[in-house]
Amino acid sequence: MHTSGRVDRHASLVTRLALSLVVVLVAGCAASATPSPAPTSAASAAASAAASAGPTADTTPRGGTMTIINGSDIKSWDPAITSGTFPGGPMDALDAIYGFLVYVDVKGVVTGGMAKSLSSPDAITWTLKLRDNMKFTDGSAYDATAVKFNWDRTADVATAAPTQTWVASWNKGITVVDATTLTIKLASANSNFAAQVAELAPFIASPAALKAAVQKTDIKPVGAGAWTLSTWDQGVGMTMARNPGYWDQPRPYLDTLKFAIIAETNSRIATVVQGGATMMAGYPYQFGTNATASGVGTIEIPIRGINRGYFNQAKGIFSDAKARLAFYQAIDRTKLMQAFTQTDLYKAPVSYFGTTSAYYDAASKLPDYDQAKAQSTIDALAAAGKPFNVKIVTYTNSDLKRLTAYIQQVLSTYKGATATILEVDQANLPDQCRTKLDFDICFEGGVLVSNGAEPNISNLLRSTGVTNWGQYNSPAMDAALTEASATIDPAAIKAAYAKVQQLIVTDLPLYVFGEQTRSLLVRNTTGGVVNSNGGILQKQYLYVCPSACAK
Amino acid sequence: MSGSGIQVDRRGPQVSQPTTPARGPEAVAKGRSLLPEADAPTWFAFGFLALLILGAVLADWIPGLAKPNLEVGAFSGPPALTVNQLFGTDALGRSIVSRVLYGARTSLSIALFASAISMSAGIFLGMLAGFYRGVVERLVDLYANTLASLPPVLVILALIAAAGTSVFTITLAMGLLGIGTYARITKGAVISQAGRDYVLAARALGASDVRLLAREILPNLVPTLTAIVPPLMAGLIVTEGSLSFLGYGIPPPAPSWGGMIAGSTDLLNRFPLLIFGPILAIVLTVYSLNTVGDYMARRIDIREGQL
Repeated sequence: MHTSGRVDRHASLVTRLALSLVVVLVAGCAASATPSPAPTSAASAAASAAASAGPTADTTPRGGTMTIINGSDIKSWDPAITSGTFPGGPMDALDAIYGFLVYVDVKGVVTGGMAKSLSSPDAITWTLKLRDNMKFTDGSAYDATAVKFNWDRTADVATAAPTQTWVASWNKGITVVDATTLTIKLASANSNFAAQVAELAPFIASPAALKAAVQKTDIKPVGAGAWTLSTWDQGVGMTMARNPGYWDQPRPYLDTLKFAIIAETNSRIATVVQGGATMMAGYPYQFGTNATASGVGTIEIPIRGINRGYFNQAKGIFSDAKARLAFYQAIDRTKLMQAFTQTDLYKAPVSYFGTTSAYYDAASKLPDYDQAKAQSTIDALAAAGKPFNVKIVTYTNSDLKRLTAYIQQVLSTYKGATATILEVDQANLPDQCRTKLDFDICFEGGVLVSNGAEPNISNLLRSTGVTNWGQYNSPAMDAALTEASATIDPAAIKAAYAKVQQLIVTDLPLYVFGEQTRSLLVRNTTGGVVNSNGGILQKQYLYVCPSACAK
Repeated sequence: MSGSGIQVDRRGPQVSQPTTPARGPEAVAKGRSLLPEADAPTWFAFGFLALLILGAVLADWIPGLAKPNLEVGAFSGPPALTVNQLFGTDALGRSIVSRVLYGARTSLSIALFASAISMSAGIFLGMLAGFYRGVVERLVDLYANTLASLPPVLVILALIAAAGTSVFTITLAMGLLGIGTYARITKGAVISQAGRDYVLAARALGASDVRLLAREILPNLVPTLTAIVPPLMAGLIVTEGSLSFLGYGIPPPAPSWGGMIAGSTDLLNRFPLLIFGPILAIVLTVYSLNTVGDYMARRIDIREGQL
């Protein structure tokens, strides 16, 4: 009696402990990424998106409700606070209210959204054409003056917009031509300007609502997008109703759009599988067998991105290019991806651009796995007084933990090589890596869209790039990127990016270890999935299928 | 008996042994048994612990067993009939059997050394409290009750936050937190022994306090302590596993049972067997230690009953 009682207590303690901690720790896998459109001068109509949405407007089912699960919520309704256009991110809510002025479609073409077009004959002077008679939901006009007001506000340091510097570099060149036309004269040619607007300054709010707000948190969500806000429980979720004054009638097709905020990936997956929500964004390896659960389907977002680590080139072992080469050679990146994803779905990428990219250059390939050469280089570095001791920094995410643990495990098999791992909170990773430069190699989660070029490639590789965490500084790279942006000739752009790729495989500023596309895990009655930019949904096209329509 | 002027039988309660019934053949057989009156679960518990300890100590010499941080197979591979893949391979292709055995070194070492810290300080304080009572007892009670009121995992996390994660920090923290438990148990045992004839006799013969405590009472605490140490060690193993599970235990890549479970939780829906090895190790070890403790307690009850 006494024995079994005590045993039961302890056994049950173990069980309860394991179960409770499982619940607490089944997290991870949070994906963060930044997006990227493709470079092209722009002009297009929503018709192309409508066509890709599947059914025509006349036959598309209308009404119903969908719930999208996102990993995090917005802090305010400030349209200037943008944070990446990956699916499942906080920008979803801003887009629903304000709508993209222009967006980059999955083929890399800048497409009209709230605006008809944003185009330029010379990449210097750009013309924004708005639609006629558009109104914000407060009744004020959505016109060129309102657009200028929003961009001027973004350029104001007091707004504290992440894109302030960029917008401030051109907002002085804005001219309001008439109610629906606005020109922007840039200081120098930039063929990627429209794509950058789609990514960095796409949202326009009612000037009256912005002026009325004393603080950011006071800003009321008054836009002209497809939806109007009904309720918002910050950090929990929000409900939106269709905007009857939306310009692209009969869209949106849904009556109600809801967002639920669930930070933990497995919980998001479980919620969709159990029917508590319509969709979530993630990766196939995260879905596992849930992807084939009853009533569930997956939809691939055909926008390729890279998994990457940043080499610290300002100090430490990787300030020597030979060490970066040894790192590439030391680890089989295909196996690394297997350890990372626990599937064999992925091969090691051969280039920054995927083989399907318009910019892919087969002549420039990333280094292959070669243990003997790696050991030889590690030995040579040690002989030169540079021991191959690598400090790996990442954030607390179960996939990234496996990734870094595998790197540590593999490096420990080389004579004279060691690796230590530092895990920080996700929010602290930029400070640890970008600000303090306290790392040798720093891994971020999620994929960075890279089949197109800008603005991501400049952000990563320019000496002044905002995501150039490793402080890569190459005048040749800066010149090649400038060359690519200074022309609208496709052949010249491709030639310039060929130089960029050559420099990437020579200098190895990044550790490109994987390439993936995101997917949506959806209820199988989800129709009208149209992705844009970094994968964010154009939600006005969503509709509920009368029967299963997603595989 | 001894050459000194004081002649006291220091066996305490065992002095009454001559009063036990005469041994028949069955009793003789039991007396010869390695574990008298042990039932099957007790034999299993002792056997499992013996095997675990042997496996942990001799892991380096087990033929064919890979090192715990060596990739030996597929990622999250299923069990197979080989030494290294008996429980399968973990998410990084390492042998789970190997990591369980090497992890046992860590878990058992921490439990052992933390128990040593708790016991040595706890017994010392408990003996003083039980022997002198009064202010000393109140102070020790205050100390023990204070420690008991603190949630152990949170206190250890705070200490780790202050001193950093290491085996030494975890062992020391768990050892310090266990002092109160040993002190209270020891105090109670000392109080029950202090009025017994053999103590009074020794005192009457002029034995000093130190001698009374160290030579007369302490040896008679051993059975009681022997019974409580195993279950308390089981608690330490669970605590260490919890810390590792939470990511504050043994720093990877060193193997630890809790760390192995933590590293598998996000993959459970895809590879449920990943968690089997370390869970089995923890459950069987905790079960075995508790069973051994209960067996010891039963033996004490029998001996006390024979008084």
